[in-house]
Order: sequence, then C-alpha cells, then structure tokens
Amino acid sequence: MQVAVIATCIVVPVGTTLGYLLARKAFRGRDLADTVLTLPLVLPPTVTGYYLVILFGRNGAIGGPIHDLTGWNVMFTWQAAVLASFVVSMPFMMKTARAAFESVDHRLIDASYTLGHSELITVFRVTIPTARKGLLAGASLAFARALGEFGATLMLAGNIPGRTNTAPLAIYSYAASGDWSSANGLVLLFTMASGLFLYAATKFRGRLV
Amino acid sequence: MGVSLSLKKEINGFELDVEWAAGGGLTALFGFSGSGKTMTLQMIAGLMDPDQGRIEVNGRLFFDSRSGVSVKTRHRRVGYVFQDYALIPHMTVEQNIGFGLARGSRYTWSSGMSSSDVRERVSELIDQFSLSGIEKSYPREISGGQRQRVALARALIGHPEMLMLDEPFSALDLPVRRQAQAVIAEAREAFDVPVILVTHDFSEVRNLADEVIVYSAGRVVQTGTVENIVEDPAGELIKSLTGIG
Repeated sequence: MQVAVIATCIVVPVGTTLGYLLARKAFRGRDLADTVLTLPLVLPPTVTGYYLVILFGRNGAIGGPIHDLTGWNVMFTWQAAVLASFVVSMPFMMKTARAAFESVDHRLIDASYTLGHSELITVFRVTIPTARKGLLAGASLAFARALGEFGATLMLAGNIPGRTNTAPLAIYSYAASGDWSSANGLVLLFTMASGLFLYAATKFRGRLV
Repeated sequence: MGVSLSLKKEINGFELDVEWAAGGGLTALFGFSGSGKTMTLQMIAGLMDPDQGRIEVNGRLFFDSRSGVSVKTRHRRVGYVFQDYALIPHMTVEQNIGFGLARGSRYTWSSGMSSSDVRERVSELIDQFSLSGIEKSYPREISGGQRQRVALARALIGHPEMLMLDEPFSALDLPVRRQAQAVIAEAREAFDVPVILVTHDFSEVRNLADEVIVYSAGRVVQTGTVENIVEDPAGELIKSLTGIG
C-alpha cells in the first residue's frame, strides 16, 4: 500500500510532464518515445521485470555504476517495489495526460499567450486546470495499477517477508503455502480497500464537473 | 499608428499571399470564410509564422523573414478577441479580465502593479463594460453579449498596441448585435487603439469600418474606404460579397 502511494506520487508529476511534452511538442522520435514508455502497459509484467533486472541489477547498465559508487543495489529492497510499480503504472498516467492535454481547446492557450503569459504560467493557470478531470482519471488508474502490481515486483524486489512483500505478493505466498485463512483475510481487505478507493475517485471526479 | 504587412504562407493546399497597410482607425478584413482573414490575424499575433514576409505594428517590427526577426506572441502586446471569445472556463469574469494584466498578477514573477492596483483596474473595466453584478460568475453562466464584453475588457486591460476582433458578432443573436457594435465603437474611442475587424457581414463593415480590405481566396482584391467600395466595386465578386449588385 505504501509502495503504491509513493509510486503514484512520482508517477503523477512525471507522467503529466511526459504527457504534456508528447501532446504539445513536435520533436524527433516522439512516436518512438511514446511507444517505448507505453510498452510496460502491454508487455507481460515478468518481461518488464526482466528488463528492470537487466538495467538495475548489480551488473546492469544503471545498477552497475550505482553499485560501484555506493555499494548499494536496488534489487530486493522496498525501493525496487516502488520502481517496478512506477514503471508499470506510468503509462496509464502518461497516456491519459496526453489525451487530456490534446483535448484542451487550443484557443485558450493562444489567448493566454496573446495576454502576455509565458508557456509555464499558461500550463499552470490554463492548461492543467482545464485538463484536470483527465489528469485525475489518469492518477486514479495509475494508483490502481500500482496497487495491483505483482509480476515486475516479484522479479525485481523478490518476495521477502517484512521487506518487499506487497499485498499481492503476500496473497500469493499464503495461497501457495495453503494458509487459506490469512489469504482470505488479505484478499477481502485488498478488495475492500481498492473498491473504496475507486468509489472515492469516482465521487470526487463527479464533484469537479 | 497602424499596421503594414506582407505575408506569404502555404498550408494544406491553401495559399495566402497578401500585402496591405492600414492606419490607426478601424480596418475591416472582409471576405468569405476560408479566404485567409483569420490566418492573417494569427500571423499578426504571432500564433502562426508566415513562410515569408514582414509585419510591422505601430512602428514596431514583429516579424521579418529576411532578417530572421520573430517576436514572441507574449511580447507583441496585441489584444485578440477570438471568435468564440476563448474565456478561461474555470475563471470568473473578474479573474478572466485580471488575467489580461500579465504583468502584476500575483501568479507572474515579473514585478509590476500591486494586487490592489490590479483589483482597482479590473473593477474600472467591469464598470466600463457594464459587467457589474456578474463579477463572480463563470463564463458558462453569462449571456453571449456579456461574454463578448468580458473578452473585450480582458483584451484591452493591458493597453495593447492594437485590437483584433475575429468575427466578434457571429455568436450573438441579431438584437444583441447592434448593441455589441456600439460597445466596440465606444471601446475603440476610449482606448484610442487601432482595430482590425474580421467579418463576412457587410452591414458590420458599413456600421463600423474606416477602411476595408477585401479578401478572396488568399488574395487582397480591393482596398479603400466603405464609400470607395460601395461606389466603385472592383468586379462582380465584390458586388456579390457586399450585396450591392
């Protein structure tokens, strides 16, 4: 649960920025960037997890230098669970943010420029408030996805009781070891928490209309 | 005071190729829809760049393809009233007008007017454009005529170099149009600002314009005063456009 909250806190600003860039800026390799960043949405989580292990493992392209410098490795830590959740839930935020930004009436943005405002002011005062419904929808989707993240987390963070066993992983362990009563309790709790969250998100969005 | 420009632009098979100058009064760009009038306004405002050309407003060079000058939209200081007014939906009437004072709003970092000065200025404009009583309303809650006055107030509050109006009456019901035309004539006098009005309705040209520039298919086909054009229309096309023939 904490993992999903932390991951979402990172996903929202990053996904929003990426969505904005993809929607508003024509740059070389835009479609390629969109495709690569969206891949975790369609790849099996184990494949995403495998890539993450290759990149962030002790001998990985990113994990290697970090290990050499600090002696620390992200694998099998709670940060790894956050990283895995971040990578798989980011596309939801980015995709919905891009669509939300693309649907903002361009004349509102033009009007802001003619009134003497910079792009940054325009983004915060006009574009984001106008796109807020889509952005909130993206954030709730991303959070829901992060909450249910299983495969990539298992690959990168392992399933270490007390450290990296997120709720979905714990449920898997209970079921695998035949501890049905614990599994039932956690499943029920998880379903209720997710349902409550989705209900709150829908309510909240309705109020903004 | 005034505008002089030459513009060349090809976009999606449409070709704009115009050259004209206008003084400090109210100039109407008149012609059918799709003749390049709105595109011309966008280029003056810097929302679109011509492929080739030069734009000068009140002696300031905005754009020159030869020397590579292209002043950013936000530094051009032109008031632009969009066809459907483009009021910011989540801002009240008051906030929309105040948003026109880029310098000094508390959301900008540039120093300028204090927020009490901004409030004072906004309330002046609210009185001037008869918007008292709806300051706290949102754009969707007010009438078309009121929306247009908010857009005008917002465009003029920063004292722009010029004011551009894109089909400002087309979204209004007929009885309101007369009144709205009077509002524009008054505003122009009060703010002493050159105005460019885009329209396809010759009655608006007759009521408001000092000079007329007639557009057709991306070209200028005639320029002159309203009298010139009524008395001596250059060709059948203009006769049919103005309804004189």
